[in-house]
Amino acid sequence: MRPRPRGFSLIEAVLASAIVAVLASAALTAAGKAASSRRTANDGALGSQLAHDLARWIATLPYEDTNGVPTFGVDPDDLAMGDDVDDFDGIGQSPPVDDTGEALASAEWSRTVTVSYVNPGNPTLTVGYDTGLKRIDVIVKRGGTVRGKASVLRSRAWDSFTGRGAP
Amino acid sequence: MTPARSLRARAGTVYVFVLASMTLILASALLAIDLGRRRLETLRFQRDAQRARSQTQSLFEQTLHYMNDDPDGSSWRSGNTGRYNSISLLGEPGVSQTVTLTDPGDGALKGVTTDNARLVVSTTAGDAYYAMSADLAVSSRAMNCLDYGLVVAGTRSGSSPVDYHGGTPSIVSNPASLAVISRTGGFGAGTHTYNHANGLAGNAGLAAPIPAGAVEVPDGTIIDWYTANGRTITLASLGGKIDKCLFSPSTSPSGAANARGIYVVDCAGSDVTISETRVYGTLVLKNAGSGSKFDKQNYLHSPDPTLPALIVQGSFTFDMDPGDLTEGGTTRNYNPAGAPFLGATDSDTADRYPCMIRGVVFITGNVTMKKTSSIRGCMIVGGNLTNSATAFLVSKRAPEELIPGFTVPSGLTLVPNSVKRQFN
Repeated sequence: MRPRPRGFSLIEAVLASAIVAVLASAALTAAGKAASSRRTANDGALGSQLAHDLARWIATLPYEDTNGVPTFGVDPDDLAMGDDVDDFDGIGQSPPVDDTGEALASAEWSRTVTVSYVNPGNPTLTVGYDTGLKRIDVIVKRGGTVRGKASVLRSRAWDSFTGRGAP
Repeated sequence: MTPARSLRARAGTVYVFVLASMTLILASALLAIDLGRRRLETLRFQRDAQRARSQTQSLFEQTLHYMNDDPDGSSWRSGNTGRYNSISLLGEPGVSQTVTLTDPGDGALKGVTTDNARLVVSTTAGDAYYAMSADLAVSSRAMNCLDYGLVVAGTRSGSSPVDYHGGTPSIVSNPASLAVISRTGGFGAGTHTYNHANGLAGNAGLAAPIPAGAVEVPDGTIIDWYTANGRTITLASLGGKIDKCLFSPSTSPSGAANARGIYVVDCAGSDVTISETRVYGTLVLKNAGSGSKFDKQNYLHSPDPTLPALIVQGSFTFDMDPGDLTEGGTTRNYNPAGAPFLGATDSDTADRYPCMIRGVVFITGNVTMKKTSSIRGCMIVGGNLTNSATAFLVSKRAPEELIPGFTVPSGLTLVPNSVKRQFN
């Protein structure tokens, strides 16, 4: 009597390998897409945080310079840059740094700040004169691609209410 | 065993192997997808939380901007609660915002312009929620009517002069409306010298220009504060007149004294005559009849610089006689303990008091001046003034303190430690 065959036949092995290969390929493709999506999401989260943190930090500063006659932008009599909101207009950082100068992200990252007077009735509109309301816009990019944006309003009223910075 | 039977036996092994592999791969893929989804949800929530916070702060600032431009709340106190819903102030997608204004005290935001306001701003961005609230207090300044010696909101008539002392600005009259100040003549630029133990000397004419602009004067509701904080006495309890009385923080002609010296005499529409009376505090005549008047000599002065000397709800005639109010003439002591005059108290009846009113006087109705009147402070007439006095002296003394009812909102301030935040 012939012995009972053991193991796979060639056809079985090929068939099983093909099925596994198809499944593995699909899984790897999905995993790759997930990784890419996760990286994009991570970038978006970091970009958003870098933008909002800076915008809100700037908003803690006084609405305008309290030394002498306030001027938009860096004031001539400022001892150090950045003692009021509009001192940060046009500032760019690459990489983004905190207030101690420590880098918060790699050199691929950058962020820019724009400060504008805005129409109080529609703060999306900038105007060329002092309305008592400023908008701080921060844009964060990674490799030239926008990864985060933040806009925060700052009013002169808050200073007159409290004599301090923003809430 | 035939080959066919051998193949059937091995077919089960292949099936199990493939099924197991598929199961493992699918489980791994599902696990990876679930972990990825959770991670994405976390990142999305973090972004939404950042947006909600920034948007809340922005709307808070914008609302403060509007409120600060309108401190008396003529626009935002239009109802007992102010509320509006907004899509994102700055055009953020998927964001909704709400602003609510309420009165944290009595709930009635509308009406009382000096009540605190509570501002609540909330933002929802995706599943993230962020809210900020703060209480805002209305700061006040003195009404500019107190910058003048005499303000007449209505018309004035009579040819008698007004002797005015006290620098500029001087006397204003507003025959048309409170919004427009005009002077049509009639007030004489008299020269007068007044010497008294507690009086003054000097003179000033009306050479100073009458300033243009609105003059703020109180309205009739001013009496509410004094009624709430003073002691109310019925005129009937005083025998229908105020004669030889002393009002002070420690002395009341009827019932218990008011510690602040505020006395509200409810005339219930009856005429009242005040004669030979000293008020060392604030006298308020509520619902006084149109024939109410001063007679003989009287001396009114509040020891509290934050309170007026006299408020009359109604019309009033100043018909005081020249000369001093004397204790000997009335056989009454007007400076017992708690009511000092020139810093002294006693129990005798030998003192003399100037016949004058020192402080702020406000008459809601018409005023008729007769004989002799001396007001060292500010006199505000809500109605018309008829002046036939032989001597009507106004010596302006602008109060240095804010007086209840004589203030207007000047701005908003943050109530300390009232800023609160709520977020998920």
